[in-house]
Amino acid sequence: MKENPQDPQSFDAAFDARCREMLSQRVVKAPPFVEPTAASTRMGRRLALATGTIMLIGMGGTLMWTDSDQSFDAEPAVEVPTVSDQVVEPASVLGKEAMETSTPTPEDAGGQPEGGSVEGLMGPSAKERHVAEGPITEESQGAMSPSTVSGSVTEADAFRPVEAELNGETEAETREPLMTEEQVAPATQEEVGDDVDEAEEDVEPVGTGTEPAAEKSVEEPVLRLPLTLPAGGGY
Amino acid sequence: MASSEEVKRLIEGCKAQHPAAQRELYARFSGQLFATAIRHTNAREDAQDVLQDSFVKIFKHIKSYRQDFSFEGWMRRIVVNTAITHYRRNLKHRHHQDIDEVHATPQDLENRNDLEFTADELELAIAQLPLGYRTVFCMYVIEGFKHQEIADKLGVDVNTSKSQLSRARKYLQRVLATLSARAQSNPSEPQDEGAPIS
Repeated sequence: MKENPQDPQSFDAAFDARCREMLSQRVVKAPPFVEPTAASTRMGRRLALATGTIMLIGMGGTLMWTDSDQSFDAEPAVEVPTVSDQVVEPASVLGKEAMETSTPTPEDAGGQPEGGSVEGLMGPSAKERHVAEGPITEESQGAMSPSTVSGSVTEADAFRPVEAELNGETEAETREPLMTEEQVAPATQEEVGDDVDEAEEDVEPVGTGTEPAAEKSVEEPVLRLPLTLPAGGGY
Repeated sequence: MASSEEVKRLIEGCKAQHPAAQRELYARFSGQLFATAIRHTNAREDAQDVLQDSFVKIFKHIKSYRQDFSFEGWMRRIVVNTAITHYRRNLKHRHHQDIDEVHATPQDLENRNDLEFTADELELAIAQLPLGYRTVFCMYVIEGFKHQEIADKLGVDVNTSKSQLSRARKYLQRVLATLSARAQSNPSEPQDEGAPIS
C-alpha cells in the first residue's frame, strides 16, 4: 500500500477499504449444522444445565438430610444410655437400701400395707399423704435416714453424732435433726421453708409417672421429710 | 457464492421451515458468517456459540426479512448483534485491556509507505486487538456501522467509538508494518503467520 504521509485521512480511508475488501468475503470453515432445537441453543443449554444442577442439588440435599437424620437418631442412642447409667446406678443402689430399710421394721408390718412402703418411696404424692395424715413413720425415716437401720453400715454413719445430740428429745424432735440441712440434698433445701402445697407442686414432676421405680425410691426420702419438719414446728 | 435466485429459493424454503432449505442455507453462508463471528469474539468456542445462536435467530426471524436489503448483510448484522450481546453479557467478567498494554511496536516501525500485508496477516493482527477495539474496528470498517450505531449498540460514547477506532487502526498499521518490514528484510524465509508478533 502506498501512502502519502501528508494525508493521514486518505491513508486511513484506503487502509479501511483494503481491510474491508480482504475480510468481507473471508470464509472460515464452520462447525457442522445442528438442528435449531431448544437443546442446541445457548438458552436451551443453560436451561438444561440449570435443570441438571437443580436435580443434583436436590439429590445431594436429600442425601445430606438423610445422613443428618441418621446422625440425629444416633446421638440420643449414644447419650441416653450414659445418662440412664448415671442415674440408674446410684438409684438402684439407694433403692435397694431403701427397700432393705423399709421392709424389715416391725412398725411397717403392722401400720401399713406391704405396698405402702414401696408406694411411699415411689411417689411423692404418697409422701405428701403421709405428711398430711399423720406423723411420719419409721418406714419413711428408714427410707430417709439409713442411720436408723440396725446392722446396716451405710453413709448414715456420718450422721450418728447428730443423733447422739438428740437422744434426749422425743421422737418427733429427733426426726428434726434428721431433716436438717446436712441430710437434705441441696436441691431440696430451697423447699424446706415453703408450704407443703407449694412443695408438692415442685416435687410432683420428680416422681411423675414413667420413671423407673428405683429412681423414685432414691429421690423420695430426700424430698419428703424436710417438708414435714417445718409443719411439726421443730424450728 | 449463491446466486440471487438460489438465495430467494432458500429464503422461501426457510420461511416454510423446511429442514432441507435450512441446511442448505447454513452450508452456503456459515463459513462467511463464522468468520464474522470469529472477528467479534475472543475464542473459537465463543464464535461457535454466536454462530449457532445467530442461525437460530435467522431461521426464526427470516419471515421478517425484506427483499430490498442484502440478505447477506442482514445475516451478518444478526451475527454482529449476537456477538455484541455475547460481548456485553461477558463484559463484567472481562478485564479491560487498554490497547497500550498490548502493543509494543516501536514507533520507528510505523512505515506506511511500504505497507504490504495479506488477509491472513490482517486477521492475525486484528485478533491481537483487545475485544473492545476489535469490535469497534470491525463494526465500522468491515460491517459498515456508523459511530452513532456503534455507540448505541456497545453502550459507549460516540467519541469513545471514534477514539477506539483511531487507536485500533494505528495499532493494526504498526503491526502490519512490522510484518512487512520483516518480510522485506528476510524475503527468503517463509512467514510464520501463527507466530506472535514481537
